[in-house]
Amino acid sequence: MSKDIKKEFLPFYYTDLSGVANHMQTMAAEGWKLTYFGNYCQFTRNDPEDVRYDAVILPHRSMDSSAKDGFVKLCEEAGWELAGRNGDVFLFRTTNAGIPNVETDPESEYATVSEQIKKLRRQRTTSIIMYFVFACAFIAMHLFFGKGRSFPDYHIGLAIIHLIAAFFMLLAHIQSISREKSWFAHAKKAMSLSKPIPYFGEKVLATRRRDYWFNTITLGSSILLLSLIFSITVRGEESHLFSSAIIGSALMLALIHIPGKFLIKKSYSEGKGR
Amino acid sequence: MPREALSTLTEPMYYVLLALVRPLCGIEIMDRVKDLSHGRLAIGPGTLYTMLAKFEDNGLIAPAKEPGSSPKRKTYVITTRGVSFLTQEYERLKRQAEDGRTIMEELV
Repeated sequence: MSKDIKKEFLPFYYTDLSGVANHMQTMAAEGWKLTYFGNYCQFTRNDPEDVRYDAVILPHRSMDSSAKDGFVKLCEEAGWELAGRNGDVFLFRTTNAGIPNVETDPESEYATVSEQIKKLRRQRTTSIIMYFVFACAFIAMHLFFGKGRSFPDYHIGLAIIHLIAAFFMLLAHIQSISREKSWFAHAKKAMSLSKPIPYFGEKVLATRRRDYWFNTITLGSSILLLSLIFSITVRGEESHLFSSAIIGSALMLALIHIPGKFLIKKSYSEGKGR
Repeated sequence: MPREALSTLTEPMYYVLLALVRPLCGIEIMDRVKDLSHGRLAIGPGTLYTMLAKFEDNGLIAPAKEPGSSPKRKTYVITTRGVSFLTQEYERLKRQAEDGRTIMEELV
Protein backbone atom coordinates (compact mmCIF):
# COMPACT_ATOMS: atom_id res chain seq x y z
CA MET A 1 0.00 0.00 0.00
CA SER A 2 1.21 3.45 -0.86
CA LYS A 3 2.47 5.57 2.01
CA ASP A 4 0.16 8.29 0.80
CA ILE A 5 -2.95 6.15 1.25
CA LYS A 6 -4.21 4.78 4.52
CA LYS A 7 -7.11 2.36 4.94
CA GLU A 8 -8.73 1.99 8.30
CA PHE A 9 -11.39 -0.38 9.58
CA LEU A 10 -13.94 1.76 11.42
CA PRO A 11 -16.79 -0.10 13.07
CA PHE A 12 -19.08 2.29 14.93
CA TYR A 13 -22.62 2.57 16.25
CA TYR A 14 -25.23 5.30 16.19
CA THR A 15 -24.11 6.20 19.72
CA ASP A 16 -20.61 7.12 18.47
CA LEU A 17 -21.37 9.90 15.98
CA SER A 18 -19.25 12.55 17.73
CA GLY A 19 -16.44 10.03 18.07
CA VAL A 20 -16.45 9.50 14.30
CA ALA A 21 -16.50 13.24 13.58
CA ASN A 22 -13.71 13.91 16.08
CA HIS A 23 -11.62 11.10 14.61
CA MET A 24 -11.90 12.60 11.12
CA GLN A 25 -10.89 15.98 12.53
CA THR A 26 -7.85 14.43 14.19
CA MET A 27 -6.88 12.68 10.95
CA ALA A 28 -7.29 15.93 8.97
CA ALA A 29 -5.14 17.79 11.49
CA GLU A 30 -2.48 15.08 11.07
CA GLY A 31 -2.55 15.54 7.29
CA TRP A 32 -4.89 12.71 6.26
CA LYS A 33 -7.81 13.69 4.08
CA LEU A 34 -10.81 11.37 4.08
CA THR A 35 -11.49 10.11 0.56
CA TYR A 36 -13.87 7.27 1.36
CA PHE A 37 -16.20 6.82 4.31
CA GLY A 38 -17.52 3.34 5.02
CA ASN A 39 -16.80 0.38 7.26
CA TYR A 40 -13.34 0.75 5.77
CA CYS A 41 -12.29 4.38 5.46
CA GLN A 42 -9.66 5.58 3.05
CA PHE A 43 -7.43 8.58 3.70
CA THR A 44 -4.94 10.22 1.37
CA ARG A 45 -1.91 12.23 2.41
CA ASN A 46 -2.66 15.94 2.42
CA ASP A 47 -1.57 19.15 4.11
CA PRO A 48 -2.76 19.30 7.72
CA GLU A 49 -6.13 21.04 7.80
CA ASP A 50 -8.29 22.60 10.48
CA VAL A 51 -11.57 21.06 9.40
CA ARG A 52 -14.81 20.58 11.29
CA TYR A 53 -16.65 17.32 10.76
CA ASP A 54 -20.22 16.48 11.70
CA ALA A 55 -21.77 13.02 11.50
CA VAL A 56 -25.54 12.83 11.40
CA ILE A 57 -28.15 10.21 10.78
CA LEU A 58 -30.42 10.64 7.81
CA PRO A 59 -33.45 12.47 9.13
CA HIS A 60 -37.01 11.55 8.19
CA ARG A 61 -37.23 7.86 7.35
CA SER A 62 -39.41 7.96 4.26
CA MET A 63 -37.00 9.99 2.16
CA ASP A 64 -36.52 8.81 -1.41
CA SER A 65 -33.30 9.42 -3.33
CA SER A 66 -34.34 12.87 -4.60
CA ALA A 67 -35.22 13.91 -1.05
CA LYS A 68 -31.84 12.62 0.14
CA ASP A 69 -30.21 14.76 -2.51
CA GLY A 70 -32.32 17.68 -1.29
CA PHE A 71 -31.05 17.12 2.25
CA VAL A 72 -27.43 17.05 1.07
CA LYS A 73 -28.00 20.11 -1.10
CA LEU A 74 -29.45 22.07 1.81
CA CYS A 75 -26.46 21.14 3.95
CA GLU A 76 -24.13 22.21 1.15
CA GLU A 77 -25.92 25.54 0.80
CA ALA A 78 -25.50 26.01 4.53
CA GLY A 79 -21.74 25.53 4.13
CA TRP A 80 -21.31 21.79 4.82
CA GLU A 81 -19.64 19.59 2.20
CA LEU A 82 -20.62 15.92 2.09
CA ALA A 83 -17.49 13.96 2.96
CA GLY A 84 -19.09 10.53 2.71
CA ARG A 85 -21.99 8.34 3.60
CA ASN A 86 -22.24 4.96 5.27
CA GLY A 87 -25.82 3.66 5.21
CA ASP A 88 -27.97 6.20 7.02
CA VAL A 89 -24.98 8.06 8.47
CA PHE A 90 -23.95 11.18 6.58
CA LEU A 91 -20.57 12.72 7.27
CA PHE A 92 -20.13 16.41 6.49
CA ARG A 93 -17.12 18.69 6.73
CA THR A 94 -16.50 22.40 6.62
CA THR A 95 -13.66 24.83 7.10
CA ASN A 96 -16.11 27.49 8.25
CA ALA A 97 -16.06 27.69 12.04
CA GLY A 98 -19.00 30.10 12.18
CA ILE A 99 -21.84 28.01 10.80
CA PRO A 100 -24.15 25.98 13.07
CA ASN A 101 -23.93 22.20 13.30
CA VAL A 102 -26.03 20.15 10.91
CA GLU A 103 -28.30 19.14 13.79
CA THR A 104 -29.12 21.92 16.25
CA ASP A 105 -32.34 20.70 17.82
CA PRO A 106 -31.60 18.06 20.51
CA GLU A 107 -35.24 16.93 20.46
CA SER A 108 -35.37 16.09 16.76
CA GLU A 109 -31.85 14.62 16.86
CA TYR A 110 -32.83 12.38 19.76
CA ALA A 111 -35.96 11.27 17.90
CA THR A 112 -33.96 10.39 14.76
CA VAL A 113 -31.17 8.52 16.54
CA SER A 114 -33.46 6.66 18.94
CA GLU A 115 -35.67 5.59 16.05
CA GLN A 116 -32.62 4.10 14.31
CA ILE A 117 -31.43 2.37 17.48
CA LYS A 118 -34.86 0.82 18.02
CA LYS A 119 -34.91 -0.34 14.41
CA LEU A 120 -31.49 -1.96 14.87
CA ARG A 121 -32.70 -3.69 18.04
CA ARG A 122 -35.62 -5.21 16.15
CA GLN A 123 -33.24 -6.38 13.40
CA ARG A 124 -30.89 -7.98 15.94
CA THR A 125 -33.76 -9.73 17.73
CA THR A 126 -35.10 -11.05 14.42
CA SER A 127 -31.63 -12.33 13.44
CA ILE A 128 -31.21 -14.17 16.74
CA ILE A 129 -34.63 -15.81 16.36
CA MET A 130 -33.86 -16.75 12.77
CA TYR A 131 -30.54 -18.35 13.73
CA PHE A 132 -32.28 -20.42 16.40
CA VAL A 133 -35.06 -21.40 14.00
CA PHE A 134 -32.54 -22.47 11.35
CA ALA A 135 -30.52 -24.46 13.91
CA CYS A 136 -33.69 -26.25 15.07
CA ALA A 137 -34.68 -26.89 11.46
CA PHE A 138 -31.32 -28.52 10.67
CA ILE A 139 -31.54 -30.71 13.80
CA ALA A 140 -35.11 -31.68 12.88
CA MET A 141 -34.00 -32.54 9.35
CA HIS A 142 -31.36 -34.83 10.77
CA LEU A 143 -33.75 -36.48 13.25
CA PHE A 144 -36.53 -37.10 10.73
CA PHE A 145 -34.69 -37.65 7.47
CA GLY A 146 -31.26 -38.87 8.57
CA LYS A 147 -32.54 -42.11 10.15
CA GLY A 148 -31.04 -45.29 8.79
CA ARG A 149 -28.90 -43.47 6.31
CA SER A 150 -25.40 -42.21 6.52
CA PHE A 151 -25.19 -39.34 8.95
CA PRO A 152 -25.58 -36.00 7.09
CA ASP A 153 -22.68 -34.03 8.51
CA TYR A 154 -23.64 -30.79 6.93
CA HIS A 155 -26.99 -30.70 8.78
CA ILE A 156 -25.31 -30.91 12.16
CA GLY A 157 -22.48 -28.63 11.00
CA LEU A 158 -24.97 -25.98 9.94
CA ALA A 159 -26.94 -26.41 13.18
CA ILE A 160 -23.74 -25.87 15.21
CA ILE A 161 -22.79 -22.78 13.23
CA HIS A 162 -26.27 -21.29 13.60
CA LEU A 163 -26.52 -22.07 17.31
CA ILE A 164 -23.14 -20.51 18.06
CA ALA A 165 -23.93 -17.49 15.89
CA ALA A 166 -27.25 -17.07 17.73
CA PHE A 167 -25.52 -17.36 21.09
CA PHE A 168 -22.90 -14.74 20.16
CA MET A 169 -25.50 -12.44 18.69
CA LEU A 170 -27.47 -12.74 21.92
CA LEU A 171 -24.39 -11.76 23.93
CA ALA A 172 -23.67 -8.86 21.57
CA HIS A 173 -27.33 -7.84 21.79
CA ILE A 174 -27.21 -7.74 25.60
CA GLN A 175 -23.96 -5.73 25.44
CA SER A 176 -25.49 -3.30 22.93
CA ILE A 177 -28.66 -2.84 24.99
CA SER A 178 -26.59 -1.84 28.01
CA ARG A 179 -24.57 0.64 25.90
CA GLU A 180 -27.74 2.04 24.31
CA LYS A 181 -29.45 2.38 27.69
CA SER A 182 -26.55 4.50 28.88
CA TRP A 183 -26.81 6.66 25.74
CA PHE A 184 -30.60 7.03 26.12
CA ALA A 185 -30.21 8.16 29.74
CA HIS A 186 -27.56 10.78 28.89
CA ALA A 187 -29.38 11.95 25.76
CA LYS A 188 -32.69 12.37 27.60
CA LYS A 189 -30.98 14.40 30.29
CA ALA A 190 -29.28 16.60 27.68
CA MET A 191 -32.56 17.03 25.83
CA SER A 192 -34.40 18.16 28.96
CA LEU A 193 -31.70 20.80 29.48
CA SER A 194 -31.71 21.78 25.75
CA LYS A 195 -28.04 20.83 25.57
CA PRO A 196 -26.39 19.06 22.62
CA ILE A 197 -26.98 15.30 22.54
CA PRO A 198 -23.86 13.59 23.90
CA TYR A 199 -22.23 10.69 22.06
CA PHE A 200 -19.32 8.46 22.89
CA GLY A 201 -16.02 10.12 21.97
CA GLU A 202 -13.13 9.28 19.65
CA LYS A 203 -11.48 6.86 22.08
CA VAL A 204 -14.44 4.53 21.85
CA LEU A 205 -13.59 3.71 18.22
CA ALA A 206 -10.48 1.78 19.24
CA THR A 207 -12.62 -0.20 21.71
CA ARG A 208 -15.20 -0.94 19.01
CA ARG A 209 -12.46 -2.19 16.66
CA ARG A 210 -10.92 -4.36 19.37
CA ASP A 211 -14.33 -5.76 20.38
CA TYR A 212 -15.18 -6.47 16.76
CA TRP A 213 -12.05 -8.52 16.12
CA PHE A 214 -12.31 -10.25 19.50
CA ASN A 215 -15.92 -11.26 18.81
CA THR A 216 -15.15 -12.39 15.27
CA ILE A 217 -12.14 -14.47 16.29
CA THR A 218 -13.95 -15.95 19.29
CA LEU A 219 -16.96 -16.81 17.15
CA GLY A 220 -14.82 -18.40 14.41
CA SER A 221 -12.70 -20.32 16.93
CA SER A 222 -15.77 -21.62 18.75
CA ILE A 223 -17.28 -22.90 15.52
CA LEU A 224 -14.03 -24.59 14.52
CA LEU A 225 -13.37 -26.04 17.96
CA LEU A 226 -16.86 -27.50 18.35
CA SER A 227 -16.76 -28.86 14.82
CA LEU A 228 -13.39 -30.48 15.52
CA ILE A 229 -14.61 -32.02 18.79
CA PHE A 230 -17.76 -33.25 17.07
CA SER A 231 -15.77 -34.70 14.18
CA ILE A 232 -13.37 -36.60 16.42
CA THR A 233 -15.73 -37.82 19.12
CA VAL A 234 -18.91 -38.52 17.18
CA ARG A 235 -18.09 -38.95 13.54
CA GLY A 236 -14.64 -40.39 13.49
CA GLU A 237 -12.10 -39.86 10.72
CA GLU A 238 -14.58 -39.93 7.86
CA SER A 239 -16.26 -36.71 8.85
CA HIS A 240 -16.04 -33.69 6.55
CA LEU A 241 -17.51 -31.43 9.20
CA PHE A 242 -14.26 -29.80 10.27
CA SER A 243 -13.17 -28.91 6.75
CA SER A 244 -16.71 -27.70 5.99
CA ALA A 245 -16.63 -25.46 9.06
CA ILE A 246 -13.24 -24.00 8.07
CA ILE A 247 -14.50 -23.20 4.59
CA GLY A 248 -17.77 -21.81 6.00
CA SER A 249 -16.01 -19.55 8.51
CA ALA A 250 -13.51 -18.32 5.90
CA LEU A 251 -16.37 -17.53 3.53
CA MET A 252 -18.23 -15.63 6.27
CA LEU A 253 -15.16 -13.51 7.01
CA ALA A 254 -14.46 -12.94 3.33
CA LEU A 255 -18.03 -11.83 2.68
CA ILE A 256 -17.85 -9.34 5.51
CA HIS A 257 -14.42 -7.87 4.76
CA ILE A 258 -13.50 -8.22 1.11
CA PRO A 259 -16.16 -5.86 -0.25
CA GLY A 260 -15.23 -3.15 2.23
CA LYS A 261 -11.47 -3.39 1.98
CA PHE A 262 -10.82 -4.01 -1.67
CA LEU A 263 -13.78 -2.57 -3.48
CA ILE A 264 -13.35 1.06 -2.46
CA LYS A 265 -14.19 2.74 -5.70
CA LYS A 266 -15.99 6.00 -5.28
CA SER A 267 -15.81 8.91 -2.99
CA TYR A 268 -18.12 11.82 -2.33
CA SER A 269 -15.09 13.99 -1.78
CA GLU A 270 -14.30 13.47 -5.45
CA GLY A 271 -17.80 14.57 -6.35
CA LYS A 272 -19.14 11.08 -7.00
CA GLY A 273 -22.19 9.55 -5.38
CA ARG A 274 -22.63 6.01 -4.22
CA MET B 1 -44.80 7.17 7.03
CA PRO B 2 -47.72 7.79 9.39
CA ARG B 3 -48.48 11.43 9.97
CA GLU B 4 -47.17 12.54 13.32
CA ALA B 5 -49.54 15.12 14.76
CA LEU B 6 -48.02 18.28 16.16
CA SER B 7 -49.46 19.53 19.44
CA THR B 8 -47.25 22.50 20.26
CA LEU B 9 -44.26 24.11 18.59
CA THR B 10 -40.71 24.18 19.87
CA GLU B 11 -38.92 27.51 19.67
CA PRO B 12 -37.10 26.73 16.38
CA MET B 13 -40.37 25.42 14.87
CA TYR B 14 -42.16 28.62 15.84
CA TYR B 15 -39.55 30.77 14.13
CA VAL B 16 -39.50 28.62 10.99
CA LEU B 17 -43.27 28.96 10.62
CA LEU B 18 -42.96 32.71 11.22
CA ALA B 19 -40.32 32.91 8.50
CA LEU B 20 -42.54 31.05 6.04
CA VAL B 21 -45.25 33.71 5.90
CA ARG B 22 -43.50 34.46 2.64
CA PRO B 23 -42.11 31.84 0.23
CA LEU B 24 -38.52 30.93 1.07
CA CYS B 25 -36.06 28.17 0.23
CA GLY B 26 -34.03 26.28 2.83
CA ILE B 27 -31.03 28.55 3.14
CA GLU B 28 -33.26 31.64 3.12
CA ILE B 29 -35.30 30.19 5.98
CA MET B 30 -32.12 29.72 8.02
CA ASP B 31 -31.10 33.33 7.42
CA ARG B 32 -34.59 34.64 8.12
CA VAL B 33 -34.84 32.74 11.42
CA LYS B 34 -31.53 34.26 12.47
CA ASP B 35 -32.83 37.73 11.62
CA LEU B 36 -36.19 37.23 13.33
CA SER B 37 -34.53 36.01 16.51
CA HIS B 38 -31.95 38.83 16.36
CA GLY B 39 -29.12 36.33 15.91
CA ARG B 40 -30.12 34.32 18.98
CA LEU B 41 -31.27 31.23 17.12
CA ALA B 42 -29.25 29.37 14.49
CA ILE B 43 -30.90 26.36 12.87
CA GLY B 44 -28.75 23.64 11.32
CA PRO B 45 -29.70 22.28 7.89
CA GLY B 46 -30.40 18.77 9.22
CA THR B 47 -32.76 20.10 11.85
CA LEU B 48 -34.48 22.34 9.32
CA TYR B 49 -34.89 19.51 6.85
CA THR B 50 -36.58 17.26 9.42
CA MET B 51 -38.78 20.14 10.50
CA LEU B 52 -39.89 21.01 6.95
CA ALA B 53 -40.76 17.36 6.27
CA LYS B 54 -42.82 17.22 9.47
CA PHE B 55 -44.61 20.50 8.67
CA GLU B 56 -45.35 19.34 5.14
CA ASP B 57 -46.68 15.99 6.42
CA ASN B 58 -49.00 17.91 8.75
CA GLY B 59 -50.15 20.27 6.02
CA LEU B 60 -48.75 23.36 7.75
CA ILE B 61 -46.56 24.32 4.80
CA ALA B 62 -46.60 23.50 1.10
CA PRO B 63 -44.15 23.80 -1.79
CA ALA B 64 -44.47 27.19 -3.46
CA LYS B 65 -43.87 27.90 -7.11
CA GLU B 66 -42.19 31.25 -7.25
CA PRO B 67 -41.87 32.92 -10.67
CA GLY B 68 -38.21 33.27 -11.55
CA SER B 69 -37.00 31.02 -8.74
CA SER B 70 -34.45 28.31 -9.46
CA PRO B 71 -36.12 24.94 -10.10
CA LYS B 72 -33.28 23.29 -8.19
CA ARG B 73 -34.25 25.09 -5.00
CA LYS B 74 -37.43 23.95 -3.30
CA THR B 75 -39.41 26.85 -1.91
CA TYR B 76 -42.02 26.54 0.83
CA VAL B 77 -44.79 28.76 2.13
CA ILE B 78 -47.16 28.51 5.07
CA THR B 79 -50.67 27.15 4.35
CA THR B 80 -54.01 28.34 5.76
CA ARG B 81 -53.86 25.47 8.23
CA GLY B 82 -50.32 26.56 9.14
CA VAL B 83 -51.43 30.16 9.71
CA SER B 84 -54.24 28.97 12.00
CA PHE B 85 -51.79 26.74 13.92
CA LEU B 86 -49.25 29.56 14.20
CA THR B 87 -51.96 31.95 15.44
CA GLN B 88 -53.02 29.46 18.12
CA GLU B 89 -49.41 29.09 19.19
CA TYR B 90 -48.90 32.86 19.24
CA GLU B 91 -52.01 33.27 21.41
CA ARG B 92 -50.80 30.54 23.75
CA LEU B 93 -47.39 32.18 24.15
CA LYS B 94 -49.01 35.61 24.62
CA ARG B 95 -51.30 34.25 27.35
CA GLN B 96 -48.33 32.64 29.07
CA ALA B 97 -46.40 35.93 28.99
CA GLU B 98 -49.44 37.85 30.27
CA ASP B 99 -50.11 35.33 33.02
CA GLY B 100 -46.55 35.66 34.22
CA ARG B 101 -46.30 39.43 33.81
CA THR B 102 -47.59 40.54 37.27
CA ILE B 103 -45.40 38.07 39.11
CA MET B 104 -42.33 38.72 36.97
CA GLU B 105 -42.65 42.48 37.32
CA GLU B 106 -42.60 42.07 41.09
CA LEU B 107 -39.55 39.80 40.87
CA VAL B 108 -37.47 41.93 38.52
